[in-house]
Amino acid sequence: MSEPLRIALIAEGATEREVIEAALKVSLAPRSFVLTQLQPEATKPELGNGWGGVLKWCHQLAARCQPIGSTVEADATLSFFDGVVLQLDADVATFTYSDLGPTTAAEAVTRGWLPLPCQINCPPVPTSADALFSVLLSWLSPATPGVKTVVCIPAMNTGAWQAAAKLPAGHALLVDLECRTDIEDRLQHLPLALRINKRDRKSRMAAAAAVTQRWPTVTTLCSRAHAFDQAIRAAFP
Amino acid sequence: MIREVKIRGFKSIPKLDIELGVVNCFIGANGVGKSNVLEAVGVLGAAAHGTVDDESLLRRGVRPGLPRLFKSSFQDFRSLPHIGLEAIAQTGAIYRASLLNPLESPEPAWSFKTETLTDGTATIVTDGVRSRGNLNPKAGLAAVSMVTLPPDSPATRLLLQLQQFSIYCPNTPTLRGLVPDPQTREPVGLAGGRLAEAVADLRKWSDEVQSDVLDDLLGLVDWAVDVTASRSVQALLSPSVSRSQEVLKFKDRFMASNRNELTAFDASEGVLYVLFTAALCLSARGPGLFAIDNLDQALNPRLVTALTSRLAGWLGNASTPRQLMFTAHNPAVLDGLDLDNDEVRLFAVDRDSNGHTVVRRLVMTPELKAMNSDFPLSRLWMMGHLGAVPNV
Repeated sequence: MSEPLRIALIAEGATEREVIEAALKVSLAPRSFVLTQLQPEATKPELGNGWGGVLKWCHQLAARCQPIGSTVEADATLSFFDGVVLQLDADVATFTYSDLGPTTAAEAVTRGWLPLPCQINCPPVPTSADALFSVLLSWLSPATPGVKTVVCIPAMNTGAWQAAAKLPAGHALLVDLECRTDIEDRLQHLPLALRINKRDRKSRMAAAAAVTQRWPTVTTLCSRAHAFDQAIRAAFP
Repeated sequence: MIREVKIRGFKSIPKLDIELGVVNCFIGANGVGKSNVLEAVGVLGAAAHGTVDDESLLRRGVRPGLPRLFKSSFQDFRSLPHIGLEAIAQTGAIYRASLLNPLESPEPAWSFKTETLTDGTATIVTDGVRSRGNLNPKAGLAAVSMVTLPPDSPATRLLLQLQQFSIYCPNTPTLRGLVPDPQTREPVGLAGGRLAEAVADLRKWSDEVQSDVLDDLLGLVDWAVDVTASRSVQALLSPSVSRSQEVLKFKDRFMASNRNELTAFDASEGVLYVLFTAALCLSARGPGLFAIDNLDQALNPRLVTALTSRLAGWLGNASTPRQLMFTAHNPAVLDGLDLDNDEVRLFAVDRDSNGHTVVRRLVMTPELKAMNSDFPLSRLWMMGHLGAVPNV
């Protein structure tokens, strides 16, 4: 039995962690891992949840590696981890900095963060060519993702991966799945056997278990799941 | 000095090897298995004493449990039929035991499947799967072999250290002397019983060796200028308060000199927990290896940092070599650990993706040391950067 991989997760929320953890169980198998969520973090309410929390975490990291920059995983405070996963939903491309308040909007200008909203591609383009990925890089600058940092932009949200795992082949919601901004809402209103209620822990855990069990299906239906799987395998061979 | 402990198939720990120092701090989320690590050593201690049953486990502060709970059980993991435990001393002496008890219709005592004791060069006891009908499988051979071993043999010292191991978990009523300790020990009971007697011994020792340790201890407690153990406290304690023979008596520096004494019943609980830890670390009659579950309970963050920073010195000054394993949840504990001292070790305990308890020693990098003023260990732990946190 080898030592488990220690992976830090910066994500929009608890649901995203559960889905990513479910995916990692397959992508990293047979190795085990310890996934520690650094953001959102209950004792740091000032960072907040959602994409605003990810933005502020990235900015704090950027501040730690001024002025010359380094890779994300080279940050000394992350030295107890083997790697980092940074998650951001694709629908962030439709938001604006002023959604987080006037201070953030002003900060975006002074710090040179790339503008939001930004171009959104559907079906998704490779992560590296995604405008939102460039925005994320501007939040991290002068830090950059190194070989042990995996950026995960799952789809409009991680509900797409849950849907791919839970819904039967041919289900109407599987059409243009990665482009559906309302997928989480739609999943909450399905018949009981297929329903995924984001506010119900048991429902979320069942959906996460389905992501693990049906990961090959998820990666077939979701190009970003496939990209994440490949990126994880490359980062932790 | 025990340098390594190996645990196989015990509770949430399918496989674990830990290299111990003198001061060993275990941190982690509630329920990750920190106490299971301590309890595994307790089970090995009971085996080293010759019997592993509920009574011998309770004596060591281990929660007795049925084999279906003691043996690891995981969805992805083929459970071992036995629990395997091993301790390796700095001298090279080894004690290893594997213990059996059926899941269905368990026996009151565990059977020794295999048992090995070496002194680092020669094998003293080696017993494979016990098939000889003339041996009681529930009695350990190593404990019996001690009668023939020289007292200074590395094997004897290893067995003694294991036999002395207990998990201490003090509580305030017992420390105050209000309720008896169900597990009394020298110098203090597992719940903190007979603390007054332990402090009296500590005072005596401190006077004999002209140590300033008691002054230093009281320096941690702002309000107290002196502490003694006394039998005559009628004037200080209500007759309705049940008490032990000896009672701790403190002198308060702020109160008027003609009535500035109070007993453990009225003293702040923090000072009692500090004295308890000091007595275990310093007393000549203290155990060679012991654990304190939740060392930080009831202590102010600054006080617990100050207490933690003294542990290595206290244990190093003890008349016999001794080691401490402890768990804590207060981040301030970490700022008292001098991790530049290789004998002071910090372990992060987590559950991996299979639910297995995993333990990793955290060693400070030069870069992290350089950032200590902005990012002390307490802050890093709260940020999640040490692991050992729940995902909440």
